[in-house]
Amino acid sequence: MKNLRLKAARALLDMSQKELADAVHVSRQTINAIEKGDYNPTIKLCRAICRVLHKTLDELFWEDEEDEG
Amino acid sequence: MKGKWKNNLDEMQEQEMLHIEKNCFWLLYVMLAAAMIVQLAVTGEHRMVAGEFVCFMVVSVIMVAQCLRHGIWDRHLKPDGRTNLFVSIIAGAGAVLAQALIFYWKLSPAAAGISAVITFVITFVLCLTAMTFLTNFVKKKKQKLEKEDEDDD
Repeated sequence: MKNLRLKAARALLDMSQKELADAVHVSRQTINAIEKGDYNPTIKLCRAICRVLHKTLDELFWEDEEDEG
Repeated sequence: MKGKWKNNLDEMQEQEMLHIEKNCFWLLYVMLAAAMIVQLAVTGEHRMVAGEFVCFMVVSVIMVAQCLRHGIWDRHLKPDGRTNLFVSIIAGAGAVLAQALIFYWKLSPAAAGISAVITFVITFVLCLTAMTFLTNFVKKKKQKLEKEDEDDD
């Protein structure tokens, strides 16, 4: 499932995928895969992304039960 | 020196790399076994495949030992009698097939038949015995590891 909240939070700070990727020390492909829902990041990377985007884990990565299904 | 061995991959690339390495490992493993069978069939000389055989066995033993050490059996199969029986039959059939490719075609049908039965029975019994032993071992190891985790709490 696509992570639109991550995409929106990044856009809000006017950051490109590449800039976010550099800030959390991963490749742009990884950020792209997370936003597309193709890759489930580790909690360590989730926290790094949250710190950079000034968001909580819940705001970016929490999924309701109906979303998960 | 430390910088030289720095991991340049991020976590997703690392997972992809592990996936690629896993697939390549199994391809190499199967192709090595096939290469040994073909070489034996063509040359009939066991000495010709000694190097490959040692490599194959070292890798196999290390893999089994590491899995047992971590209490891991298999992704899909459960460590029970049914699995042991199933795998032993497959191993017996595989041994007969390998032998057929290597030298049965040189024998008379009767000799090949007797040899096939003997090969199947010996492989089946040895495999079943080893599997039964390993199944019990991995179950005990798993219980021990579970208990260790409980003690940590």
